[in-house]
Amino acid sequence: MKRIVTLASLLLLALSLAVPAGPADAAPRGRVTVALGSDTPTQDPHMHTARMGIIINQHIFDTLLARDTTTWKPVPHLAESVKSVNALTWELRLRKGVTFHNGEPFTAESVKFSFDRVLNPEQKSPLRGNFTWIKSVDVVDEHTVRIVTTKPYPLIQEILTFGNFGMVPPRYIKEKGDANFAKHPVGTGPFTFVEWRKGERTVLEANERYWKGAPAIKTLVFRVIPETATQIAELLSGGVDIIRAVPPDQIPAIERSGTARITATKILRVVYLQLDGDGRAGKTPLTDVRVRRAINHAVNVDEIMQKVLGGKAVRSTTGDNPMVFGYDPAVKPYAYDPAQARKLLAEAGYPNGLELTLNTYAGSIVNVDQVAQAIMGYLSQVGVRVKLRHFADVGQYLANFRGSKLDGMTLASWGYNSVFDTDAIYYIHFHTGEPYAYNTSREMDQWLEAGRSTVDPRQRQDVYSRFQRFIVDQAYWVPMYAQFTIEAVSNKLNYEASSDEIMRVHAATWK
Amino acid sequence: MWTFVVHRLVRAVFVCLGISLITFTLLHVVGDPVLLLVPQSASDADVRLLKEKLGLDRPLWAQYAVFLRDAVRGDFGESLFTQESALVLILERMPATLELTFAGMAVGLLIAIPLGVVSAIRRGSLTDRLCTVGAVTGQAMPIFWLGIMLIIVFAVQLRVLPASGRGTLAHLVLPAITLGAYLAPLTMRLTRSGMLDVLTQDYIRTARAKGVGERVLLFKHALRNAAIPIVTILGVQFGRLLGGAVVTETVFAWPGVASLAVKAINTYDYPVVQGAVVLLAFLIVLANLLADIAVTWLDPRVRLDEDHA
Repeated sequence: MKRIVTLASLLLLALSLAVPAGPADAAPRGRVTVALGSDTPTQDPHMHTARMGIIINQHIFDTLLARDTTTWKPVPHLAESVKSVNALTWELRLRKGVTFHNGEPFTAESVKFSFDRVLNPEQKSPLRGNFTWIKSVDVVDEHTVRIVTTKPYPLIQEILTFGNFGMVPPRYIKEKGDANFAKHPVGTGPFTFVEWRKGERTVLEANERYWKGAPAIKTLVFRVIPETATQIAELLSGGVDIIRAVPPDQIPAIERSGTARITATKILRVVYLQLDGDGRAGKTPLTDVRVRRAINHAVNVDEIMQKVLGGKAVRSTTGDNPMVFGYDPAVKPYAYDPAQARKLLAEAGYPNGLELTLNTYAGSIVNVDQVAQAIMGYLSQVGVRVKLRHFADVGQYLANFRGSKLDGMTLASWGYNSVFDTDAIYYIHFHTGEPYAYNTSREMDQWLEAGRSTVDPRQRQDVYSRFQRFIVDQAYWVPMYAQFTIEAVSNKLNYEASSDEIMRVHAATWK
Repeated sequence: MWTFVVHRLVRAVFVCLGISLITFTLLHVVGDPVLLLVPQSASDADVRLLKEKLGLDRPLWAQYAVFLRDAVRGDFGESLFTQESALVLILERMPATLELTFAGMAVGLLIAIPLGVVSAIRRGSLTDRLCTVGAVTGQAMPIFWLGIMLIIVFAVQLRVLPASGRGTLAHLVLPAITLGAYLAPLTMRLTRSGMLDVLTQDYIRTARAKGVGERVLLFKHALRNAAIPIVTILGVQFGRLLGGAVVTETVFAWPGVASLAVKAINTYDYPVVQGAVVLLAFLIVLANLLADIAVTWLDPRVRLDEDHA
């Protein structure tokens, strides 16, 4: 108990040191257009999980915590502090003097309403699954709420930064209804809503009374442009100012244009080669640790990062993302050593090599075909003949993944559901009985359970370090790299891409 | 004539029914939207629960029966992703698609008919041969590539037209040219062969012998007769145009039904796909019907009441 309180005060201190910068000095001006590949399904932040929707939501709504844009750790936003009262209770102190765009004051009631709305099964919010650890949300006074949890919950700060868990206005929603709110959103954020032409554009206007100070941009437009080539043409002709998901081969053309530049940064999504170590999809040579180690020695990950991704990737040595809590950089991966790989295969009883399936899927992994081909090339050099099975459809891929049908190797990726914590990748991939677990053991189950049932960061780091040493030794995966988001921005703007893939156009300024 | 129209409309209902059955089966056999709807970390129990809620655990025929029962009342269900009425979503985007399709058709005809007529009159000349080469090139050119090239030239290099989007008349120019160029080659060649056919007929010689002016001869006597196959084919081409609209809408970020349907197909949003396909199929049947009616006006010899086989 005492430790929790000490911890909490440390957290409080950390939070208060990271108070965001003061208001901008000039009045908002000009118009910025951002191209998005698809539209948001709704303007109601609680009723979808679409990335494009989250990007728009973040400009209209504020979350309780935000992320520091250098460390990506949670920092105060609408909540000035998050303090653990005891193992099952957290106290949030809220910022004072904040109002919604319709004039409604932001108070503890708004926070309780927002939580209760997501938790209400009748509401059918797709976010609900992330909040089921909450027992109740209680108003203490006008600017204080307490969250009571059903079990110790170490990821609370992570959940409070969730891009689409914006604080919503209770009175407005009760008066106008959900259907209206989905089309005419009202938040406390840096921009107010003007117009939504579905499938076409969302138009926002600077909130000049924003509590952090008005944004530099007067009018912000999110335009739906599905085709990447068209997005690039619009950028180069001045029709739009920021685009995302730029293909690596288009970088030189944009850099040479003189009108726009590239801004790229590492993101949460990691890419790795999963091996079916349990033989979950049927009998396979991969149940032998020597075969798994051989494959680890055979693949030259650094060369793939350089040659296929143009260096736009960060090496992961354990499969975990180097940015998240719990990653242990001290754990070293297998060295690229084809001779050693051949030796291990011979020892395992495959002196003449063997055949394995490589599953790949379309979506999420940048240059997936080239990466798969590179892997096949490396493996053929040590005598592993690869049978490629490509899923053009993500739904099919996931169904096969869950249905124990991904035999052999799978070029997989994981986006952490935007949670910057090791628990978000390993539990679901290594705990017995989880839908994506193809490598399991009693020992790993115990570590994973310990990691999610204590709020002490030191204990958690310790258990995750042990876990990573174990899975690297057992060579369950071939850890590869964390991807980059590649965006391009007009030379008129100061703007940088974000590691959580949420575009912060509200922080952009004119040059 | 009315018997004909009623017959054709009844047939249209069966066509739409058949199409809905095919789309329904194909969509349900190849994919499953549930895994795209739940967070990736959802448990198998969550997945089963959602499947039950959406009625996707029931046998296919039972699901189709429910779909049919609602569809006849104009209810295609709600989009799985936005919980909005699929019909409303589609109708909201219909004007954009119709605008693009008709503009594309107009551009296509404006290119095809004059060139077809000129080629026929100057058969074997350099103009004729250039037109033939142009038509073959046009037919071979992927619509997608043409769209991107037009954007690069007119929006990026010359900066005279917007690259994408819908709003002003200027926004319509490039997509309409792209779609028109898709329609033009076949129509041009039909015009050319139709004109060649008509120009050798006896009544043209007679008319010419009577001293009818060349312009009246061409446009009143020859083109009107040559127009019959063109109009018939236009009805059929309407379907091709909607197909071309799928690509054109995507390239030019044109907010129409076709791009909505493509997105819905990718996410297995059954209600939206079903609604869009049935509605578009109905439009195509309607276009063919209108083409047939137009032919009777052009060619008094065709009596529709005898022609409903």
